[in-house]
Amino acid sequence: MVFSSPAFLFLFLPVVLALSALLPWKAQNWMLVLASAVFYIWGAGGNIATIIYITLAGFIGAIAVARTRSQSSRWRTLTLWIVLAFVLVPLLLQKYLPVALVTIGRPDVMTWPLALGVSFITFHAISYVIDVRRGVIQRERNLKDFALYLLLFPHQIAGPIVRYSEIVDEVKGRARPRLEEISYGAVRFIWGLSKKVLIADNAGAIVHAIQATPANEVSATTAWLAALAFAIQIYFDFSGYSDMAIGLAAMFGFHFPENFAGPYRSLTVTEFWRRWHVTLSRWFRDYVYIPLGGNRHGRAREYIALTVTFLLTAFWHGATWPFLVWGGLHSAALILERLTGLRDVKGWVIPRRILMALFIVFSWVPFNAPTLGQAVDQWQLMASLDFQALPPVLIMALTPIVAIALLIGCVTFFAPKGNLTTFAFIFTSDHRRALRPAISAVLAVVLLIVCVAMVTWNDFSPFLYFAF
Amino acid sequence: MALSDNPSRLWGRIALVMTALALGSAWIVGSGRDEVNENTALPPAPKIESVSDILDTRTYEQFNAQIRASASARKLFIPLIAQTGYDVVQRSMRLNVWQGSDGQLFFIEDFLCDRVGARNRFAQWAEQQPPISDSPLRFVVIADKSTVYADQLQPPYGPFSVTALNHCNQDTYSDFSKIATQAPDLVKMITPSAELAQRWDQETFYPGDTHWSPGAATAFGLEVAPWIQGQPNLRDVIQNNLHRSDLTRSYGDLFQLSGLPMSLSPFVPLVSLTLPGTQSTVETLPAPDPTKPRNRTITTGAPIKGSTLLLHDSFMEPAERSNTPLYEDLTQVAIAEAAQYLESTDRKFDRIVFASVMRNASLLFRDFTNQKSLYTSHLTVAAKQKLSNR
Repeated sequence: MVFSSPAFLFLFLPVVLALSALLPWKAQNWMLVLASAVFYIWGAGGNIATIIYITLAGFIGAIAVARTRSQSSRWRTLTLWIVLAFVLVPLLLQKYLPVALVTIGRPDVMTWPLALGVSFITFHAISYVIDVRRGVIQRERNLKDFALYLLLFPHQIAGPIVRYSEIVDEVKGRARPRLEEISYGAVRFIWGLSKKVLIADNAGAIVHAIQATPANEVSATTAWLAALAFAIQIYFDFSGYSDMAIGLAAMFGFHFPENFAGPYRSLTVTEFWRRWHVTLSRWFRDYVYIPLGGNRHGRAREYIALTVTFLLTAFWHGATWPFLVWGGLHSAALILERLTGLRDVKGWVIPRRILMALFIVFSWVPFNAPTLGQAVDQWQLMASLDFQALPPVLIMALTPIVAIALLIGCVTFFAPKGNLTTFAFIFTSDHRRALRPAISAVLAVVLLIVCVAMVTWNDFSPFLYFAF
Repeated sequence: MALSDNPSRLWGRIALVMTALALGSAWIVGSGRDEVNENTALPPAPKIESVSDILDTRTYEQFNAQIRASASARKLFIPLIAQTGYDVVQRSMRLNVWQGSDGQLFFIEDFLCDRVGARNRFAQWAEQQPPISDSPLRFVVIADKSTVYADQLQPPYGPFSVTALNHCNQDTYSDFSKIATQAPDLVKMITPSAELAQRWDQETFYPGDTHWSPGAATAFGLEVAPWIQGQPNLRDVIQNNLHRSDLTRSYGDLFQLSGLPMSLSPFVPLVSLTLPGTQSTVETLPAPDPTKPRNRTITTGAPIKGSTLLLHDSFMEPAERSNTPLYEDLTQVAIAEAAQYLESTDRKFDRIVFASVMRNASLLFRDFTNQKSLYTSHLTVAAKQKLSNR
């Protein structure tokens, strides 16, 4: 189910909110587990079997890992790898086996369909098992509580990737949320909904229009517009989803980690990755980059670890050349920044912002391209600087709503740093104290009405990150 | 039972219930379908009869579609947004409709023609056509609104010119006109004229409609019948026997696509043809899709003898009354269902007329090329003879 769909907004969410308010507090976890199962089945049907498998594999696997605590390090590590292999089975079979079969020329072999959110749920389970192995957390003894952690509907499909250690106390013994927490959660949800419905979907309309444009009508104008619109779409889509997830969680008494911190305001690629999809970057840092040696074993090792980490990040998004090129571009840029010292440069803020904005827009191209060839074609067009008039399909697609959405989207690239820099950051967590709750509430109600209007106006539009 | 151990938590619960009620009311209160929903078919209700239905994503897709179509918020917001776009911003908020000057709406499909593809398809079609006079296969292409009203495409404001919008369309119009000149017994190009419409105090096209008005649509009868019959003076006979008949609301399909209510569309008189000494009987043929009716009209004493199959799109509907009495035995079927109809019947026709608006015409030629044997197998022996005598 999509947070911005009428089914979620007008049926699922009201029912779950009402149950949360009216049921005894002791029944909350059961209610949320059941609601999360309904939420999943609504979007993915019978694929819930995959998710149940990962839940059981993680839960039982952690028991096995915990029991090896008194064993030798080698035995513990071996147990961990066996458990991780079991947890990874659905992801490997559903996401990577079909690609492998195509690569070896056997696309005729039947495989399993990719279950919704399987990448995110697998990463949650892996972090849990590894943290049990590392002794960061105790293994969970209650299957219902573990299932709640893994399947909680706000983060179920597209994150943020929450560590068990971050919410175990809330799973076990959170209090009923107070009015302030619910207000914050609601405002945060509405803000995320606005990002998705008002900006991402409208930027997406331009992306789709350009994809529908005949090849002979595409020029540098359309190529740049497509790249810019996609950069806006993916940021507002994904960060909007994260805002909604964080807001929903708050309304049920959970505190999820932040996932975005104004990434398009970054001055370096290093900074970008501290601000973009923070929980995924953190996951790869803690479970891949640091175990590979991180930056404590010399530069060569650091660069190798960095490259491997980014290739795995790209591979997580999809086992295709465009994703690998996207990951390769970012790892190359990160290494270049370290080699040249650009990472630590102070000043030259405006040129660096412009350069970084260009890099962001440029590097998203393969992420949105079905094939590497199409990505290269788009890059060539962008580099040609052969700017021509917009084709009819784009003139049509640039409705007033779409044009305003694109303009607001562009602001994210050029907003100055600091608190309350743009309206877009009014409701993010680090600035929420800057506005009085009453003003936030009034703005949120207005935004909710506009969003409901747009939800009824627009066609169904799934989140981009559901694909991963 | 204490509702809460803390006033703030109690208010929190009240807030949750209030939020739930507010969101639920956006769907439930006053829900149902009304005028704003009439251009969307009501999706079928999901059936849950087994566990596999519960685990089938299609069940929930149907739920989603039902909820979306019946949400009461639609009633409020869709006309509000559409009206704001139409009257205040003067730009359609929908991607599929373009608003020009004087509130004229245009259908996006008019501008997205595949010009190269159309030329290729037409060339392929033309190769297979016999250059004979009195051909039993005839093709009628109707110029679309954006071609006829090209001067009204420019919106009343805007930083850029939209002349590029209609380039492809104008080229296609010119291509078809050229073809009609080169193969005058095969292809007829009809350009809806203001003169004909004004004769019936009508506009050529209405602002919210992509179809020609009934007055402008009299061009079909006036031009096609004399062309088929090879009698230019038939035009005068038709002209002298046209008269106003019932009032009908113009379609307003572009209003609907924009989200505007149909009630904005004006009522206009239909134009009917009554030829002296003729009498028509209409038979409704079974049609799988009720929105695409099929009928057969027998008219005694009609000038065009023999049986005619007219395959047409929605542009024919405003022209129907001013055209039908001209044919002795006229069967009318939607082009989209032509193949299905011909496969289900063994009737033979003396001629088959294909009539389509410009944006669909090249596809029409492609479909004809792909299924030529199906069409020709439904020609009478005499008609086939004409083709073989090329």
